[in-house]
Amino acid sequence: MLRYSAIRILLLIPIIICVTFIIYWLVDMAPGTIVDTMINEDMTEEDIAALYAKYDLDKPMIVRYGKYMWNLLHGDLGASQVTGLSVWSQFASRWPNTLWLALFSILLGTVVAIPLGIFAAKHAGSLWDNLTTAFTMIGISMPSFWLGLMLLIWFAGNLKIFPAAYDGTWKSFVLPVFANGFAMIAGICRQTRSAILEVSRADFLRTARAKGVPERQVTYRHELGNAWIPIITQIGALIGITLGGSAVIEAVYSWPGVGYMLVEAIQRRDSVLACGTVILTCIIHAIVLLAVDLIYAAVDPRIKSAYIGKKKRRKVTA
Amino acid sequence: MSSKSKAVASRISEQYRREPRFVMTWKRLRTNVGAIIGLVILLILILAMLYSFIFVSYEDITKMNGKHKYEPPSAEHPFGTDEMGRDLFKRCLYGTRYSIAIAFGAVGFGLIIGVFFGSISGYFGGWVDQLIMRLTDILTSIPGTLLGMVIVTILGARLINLLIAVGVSCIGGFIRLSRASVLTVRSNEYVESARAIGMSEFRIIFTQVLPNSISPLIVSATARMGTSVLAAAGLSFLGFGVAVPLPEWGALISGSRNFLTYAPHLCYFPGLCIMALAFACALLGDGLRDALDPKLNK
Repeated sequence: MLRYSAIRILLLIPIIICVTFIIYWLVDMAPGTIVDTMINEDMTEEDIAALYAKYDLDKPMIVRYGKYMWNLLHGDLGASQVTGLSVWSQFASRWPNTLWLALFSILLGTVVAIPLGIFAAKHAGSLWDNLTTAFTMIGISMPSFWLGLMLLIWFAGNLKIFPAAYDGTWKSFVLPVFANGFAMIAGICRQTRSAILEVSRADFLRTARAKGVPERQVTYRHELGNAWIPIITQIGALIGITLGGSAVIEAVYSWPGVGYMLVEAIQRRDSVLACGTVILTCIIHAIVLLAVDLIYAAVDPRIKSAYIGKKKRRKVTA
Repeated sequence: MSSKSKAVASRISEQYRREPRFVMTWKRLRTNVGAIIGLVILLILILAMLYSFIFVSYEDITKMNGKHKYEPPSAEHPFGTDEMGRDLFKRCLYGTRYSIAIAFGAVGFGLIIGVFFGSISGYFGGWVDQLIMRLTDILTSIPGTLLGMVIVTILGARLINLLIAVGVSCIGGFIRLSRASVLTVRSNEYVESARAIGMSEFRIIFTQVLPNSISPLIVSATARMGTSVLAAAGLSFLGFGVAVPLPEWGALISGSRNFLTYAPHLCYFPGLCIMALAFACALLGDGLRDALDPKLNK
């Protein structure tokens, strides 16, 4: 397990380097630089050239990338071209808001969806199962930002129960977490239902029942225990999506998170802030995906055995 | 061979002849209520799009009418009117083309590129496989929404660029899926015999391997159409999509945000349109999965 984790963590490094290069290159290609917004009619050619030199825009892209990576290794992502604040501090101050939103949404999704999925699978084909299926189909096809806006109209506009924007209290979390979590409930519930159904015909369940294991334990230990892999895949993918893609929900609720910060940065042509935000989000995303893979290995003995050291395996077989 | 034995032979072959896979799939799909509902919704939306091509002109959807601002739904304006007195029903109808173009175009774009690289990767193996899979790892480690925002910023806010942006984020999944299904088909005898009669490698991939590994791709592509519609609507909502005067559904919702308190219908209807299309694709994808893979049919 340690060996497997070490290999996977080392493999992450080239991926992160390539991702930063692609992002830097893409952001660099975007039309319009910060200099364009500063140039005015009174400036001479030299002034403009000096301005370009100030932001290093007179040098080739690869040189600037090298410099950027060198600074990144030293924990310096540059300063926002609009506000002058360091990208790192802006990201760090916004990041907890995105993280909490994502974690609460995932928590809501998992806590509601897994029991619901088990229930639907246990009663497969019944009216309740069909109702659950219809509900989950609606959940996965509803745009989260639309649900967010409707919640705003009803609960913040008409009923005035919850605030419409972030104000730091727990109440401001309720609407965004629900808007974000609703699609997750649907997605995880579908996955749980089909994973349980997949396992439900296995011989070991009949053995367990024949041994006299209580039905409750059969469900939670034997069935769910073997259905975890696809469910964890789904949850991991959703964590990745919310950490990277909660920009939409953040925009609906003016949530001070990194997604909304990125949208604003792109609109203001603040390429340093945009680039830094995307790169940091991608690194976090890659780490989350890796963590999910490592959890697989811990949960599924088949995957674990494939990466066990050769010596150890020989010992086991001997 | 006598005529009698010939007749017997033809009767036997008639009995054991399998129907074409398409017909078989359709027969199974027909019994699935959800899939039929999805298919009907999709057909209605496609018909609405065709109708809008012929009967709804650009003038119809941009014509302002100061007397009829923010009107709630009525017989004359089924979806109500917006802040400039424009008919929301016609605007939604006109917007059908963008979302349907995204559903088919973005997924088609991702599918072509993904299947091309995925099948090469799975068929040849070795360093080609390693290279393509490592590049796929890199591609999938960038969150789709972020990549979409960056791509649209570079290329400009137009439909075709939104289509590319959403399409790129499906490539990784299609590469992995087609590689996996090619791997399972590759070692069959008919591939061996195709090689024995001297078929070129590319011809084997495209005539022997791909047609036999296409079921999971069809299922995934249909389901992906729904998520692509949602992703594109989200990008348009944020302002990275079809530019403002054009009534793309996500952009319509974004435009309604300033009038939520007194004209909520401007938000409700475009969202219902997006949901209908995504819902239809999801239902059809589920139905196709059950029809193409009877093993999974519970």
